[in-house]
Amino acid sequence: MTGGAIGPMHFVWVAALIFGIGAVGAIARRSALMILMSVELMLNAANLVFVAYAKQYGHAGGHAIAFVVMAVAAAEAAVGLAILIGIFRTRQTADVDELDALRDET
Amino acid sequence: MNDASFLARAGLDSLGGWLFYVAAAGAVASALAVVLSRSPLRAALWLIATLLCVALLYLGLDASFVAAMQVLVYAGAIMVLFIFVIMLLNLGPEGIVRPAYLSVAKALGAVAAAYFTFKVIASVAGGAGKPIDGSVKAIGTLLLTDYLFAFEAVSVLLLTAVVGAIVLGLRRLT
Repeated sequence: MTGGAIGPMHFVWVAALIFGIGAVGAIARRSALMILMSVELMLNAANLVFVAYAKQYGHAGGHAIAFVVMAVAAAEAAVGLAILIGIFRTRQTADVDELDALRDET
Repeated sequence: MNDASFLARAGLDSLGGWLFYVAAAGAVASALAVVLSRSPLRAALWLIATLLCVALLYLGLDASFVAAMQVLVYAGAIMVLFIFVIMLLNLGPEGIVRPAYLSVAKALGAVAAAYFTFKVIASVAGGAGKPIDGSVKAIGTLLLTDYLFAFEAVSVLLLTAVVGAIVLGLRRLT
């Protein structure tokens, strides 16, 4: 990034916006799949913050951590989608509101 | 104030500035589309657009390795998994998005979160940042020296995730 008024902190603002959108989506959507996708949005926002601060302070460690976060996101997606398929095979629904087997009956 | 100085103040006098504004607007708009679209398949396609825009933002931050991994791992592998599951389960559009039960506590919590986020980000002095080497060689060296433990932990995590996904896929959950 050369010249102009665009610095790493501008990227942090964008990341904050994306994280907020993802958080609202994870809370407001019913489908487990949509919740997983919203979580991916939030992980991406966190990654963007890591990379932006790496640029701010001139240390490439943020890039290495971003790589680790991507691996965690891949593991989360694999296991989460496997659980989703398992639930769908027995309950025929992906709606988290109907998955209340562990909820207290009272 | 003439047009040129306004453009310079907004950072629109350079290619990097334009790249930032276009990619940021695209990322935020497609993230909104992900959350708001009713069809899971459309949401997944919008999510791919978001990931590509974020990859452009990484390029603007001199993070070429992370940008490449974003396109390969996220847009390439993870989203294929998502779309595969959407097609497999044949998920149609869900009904209405759950209405948000607004309360004073939730509104206050959202305002407080926004305020503290603002304070935290504004507390860091801006500026153009420092030059940084985001090449594959530099990040690879870091991963195998300073961040060796994180690298090994990730390999164990991925192995665990593969085993867990296979076990979950084999058995019927009861």
